[in-house]
Amino acid sequence: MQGTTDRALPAWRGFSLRLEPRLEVPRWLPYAVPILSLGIALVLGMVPMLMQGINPLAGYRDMVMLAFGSAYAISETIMKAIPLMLAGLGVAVAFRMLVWNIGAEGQLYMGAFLSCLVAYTWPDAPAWILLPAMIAAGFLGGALWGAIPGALKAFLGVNEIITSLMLNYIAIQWINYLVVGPWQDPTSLGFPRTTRLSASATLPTITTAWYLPTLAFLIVGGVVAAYWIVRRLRDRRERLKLALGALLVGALSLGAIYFLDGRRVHLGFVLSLLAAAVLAVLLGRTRWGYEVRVIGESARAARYAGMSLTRNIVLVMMISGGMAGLAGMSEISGNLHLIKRMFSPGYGYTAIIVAWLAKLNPWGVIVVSLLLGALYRGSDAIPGAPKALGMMLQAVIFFVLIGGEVLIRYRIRLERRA
Amino acid sequence: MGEIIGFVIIILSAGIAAGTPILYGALGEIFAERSGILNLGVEGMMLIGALTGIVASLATGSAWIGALAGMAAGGLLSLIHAFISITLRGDQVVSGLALTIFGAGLSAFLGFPYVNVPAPKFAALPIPVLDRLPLAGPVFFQHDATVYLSFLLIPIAWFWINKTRAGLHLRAVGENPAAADALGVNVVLTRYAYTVVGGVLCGLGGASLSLAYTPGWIENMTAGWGWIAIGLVIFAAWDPWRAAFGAYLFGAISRVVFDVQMLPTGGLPQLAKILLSPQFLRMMPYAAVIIILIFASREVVRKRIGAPAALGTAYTREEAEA
Repeated sequence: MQGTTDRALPAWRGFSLRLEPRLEVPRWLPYAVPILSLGIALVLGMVPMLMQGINPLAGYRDMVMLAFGSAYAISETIMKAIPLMLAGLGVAVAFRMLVWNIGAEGQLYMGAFLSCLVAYTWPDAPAWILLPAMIAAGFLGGALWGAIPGALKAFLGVNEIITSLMLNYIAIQWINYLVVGPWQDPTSLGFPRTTRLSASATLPTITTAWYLPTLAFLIVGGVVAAYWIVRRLRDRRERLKLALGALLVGALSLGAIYFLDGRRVHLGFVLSLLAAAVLAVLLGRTRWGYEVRVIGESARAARYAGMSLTRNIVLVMMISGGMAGLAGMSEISGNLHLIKRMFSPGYGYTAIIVAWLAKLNPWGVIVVSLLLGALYRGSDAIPGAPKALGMMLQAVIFFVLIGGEVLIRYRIRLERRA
Repeated sequence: MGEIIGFVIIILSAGIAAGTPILYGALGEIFAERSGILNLGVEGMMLIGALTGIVASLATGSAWIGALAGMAAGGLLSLIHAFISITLRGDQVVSGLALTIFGAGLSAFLGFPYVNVPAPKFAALPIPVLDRLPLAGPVFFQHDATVYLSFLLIPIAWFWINKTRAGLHLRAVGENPAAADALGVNVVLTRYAYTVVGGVLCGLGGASLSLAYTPGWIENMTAGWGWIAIGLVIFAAWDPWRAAFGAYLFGAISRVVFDVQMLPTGGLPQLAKILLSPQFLRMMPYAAVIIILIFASREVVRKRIGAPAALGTAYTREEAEA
């Protein structure tokens, strides 16, 4: 195939652009392209800002200051990132198998619904029972909502893109019904909302009181990691990687507790990080993760290998929906403490961008969520239509990156036409 | 009896009016998908078309220029998708999703100053003589210009796809691009052209929404109608007539839902009251899409009328090694 010109781009004045597949991808390129894409996207994003009469440079400066300018700002950016992390992890799992779950928004609402059903039914249960029950219910709510398009696709071949999206609108109306109907707080008239969750139904915020339990957890984890390094890993590089990773996790978690003490950041953050770790292991190291990868690459090959497509589609949609459900649970129980109409500013849709920008990698989802969370938070600094500015910028970044990925796979050549 | 007929006439007529924006979106998507390009950006293109329509109509005082501007905006937006999916061979699903999110975000951001600003719109334009016909008159001939235009477009689209040489090329490119290429059809150009035609029609659909059906701009005013249009294309088995039937059916459903809200609910059992609450009624069109898709998918499997075989896949000419 070497030297085969792959396909022609539009031609201008006797010159034509050709893309040819790269035989070898330079190591720095996969990192340079996203950074370059981000830069280009921010420049392109200036155009709509200028059209709205906003000074884009001052606008970006204000956005960065609001999102990262102080310890408080960063903690609030993390608050926006938590639901993106959980829902983004879910979307990434489904997309890995090329199951296009774009119903994270609805699954998020249904997770919030089911976890609150538990919270309102047993408001006086002690937190150590109630919170795990709510977490399970949140996951279940999203999983069941995700199972509908999953089962329809697996058993009847119905396109999951449309059904999962339609279910978003249905879930939002269901929440609207609860908020103005049976769950409405009678004292909320103009802006209907539900009654506040009881104290034991709210996720605790991170404080320095967590030092001791965290230390205990880290010591246990460190012992396990040490055992793994000495006994199981043969490759030196693998050993070094795990050892460094374990040290980093320890240092970061203790540092984060110090840094986030007294802020609003809650247990949902820890939940997201644990979920990323669990999914990374599941997807990277288990037979199931292998099946997901094979099905994603070639459904036909997977079928020949005896893997069940139907079962995996339903399972993946349930896990994907369950993660989005957790996002809803954590948003209500950790942040808002009650349900309002449209309480999610499109986290479920942004989760799609998060997953794709993270290359469907669980740890990547955590990093990208922080960036897009900063966009959510930062766009509050711009007067006008703040939420929409964030959405618009996300989409521009998304587009440029999809285009930029071509640079990783192909070399672009300018040729004189024969 | 007369009352029932009157009600049916209202539902049918309103179904056609409400179905028109969806129909434009579905027809546009049929053209794009017939050429092998899956464009999930319908919702985004409709939103941009709707906003551009309002802005241009305000600026020029003419709803017609507004509609043209909406078409141009939809076409421009679809070029992004065409470039990514045809030239760069990116993932069509992901690029289409990006287009929808982009259109929603951009229209919400730029449309902020235009929310609920009254703009020149398409006025009702009863067709003389025909509008007096019993039944057919009020159902078909008492609408605005965008509706009549869609009446013309259905047979034209059907004829173009099924009876012309260009349509044959279009279908060939969507079914078997390599064979079409071998016969001398320019696959890249064909796909670009029909993706843009699709975008133009989606833009017109959005403009017909903001300039005719529900005049004025509101953030996210399409409320999933673009997605319903994509679902309808599957239901319609890529056929313009069936797409029209489906679009009008959805229009009628959304109208019935609106009327049922007005019914008195006193004396009904509690469950019925809940099901007739505005929130539940608003779920109905979306639930109907799911149900209809289930039946359509069964039919597609049974009758083996499938999607264009090359739908969603990029085309590369495998040049033989000389």
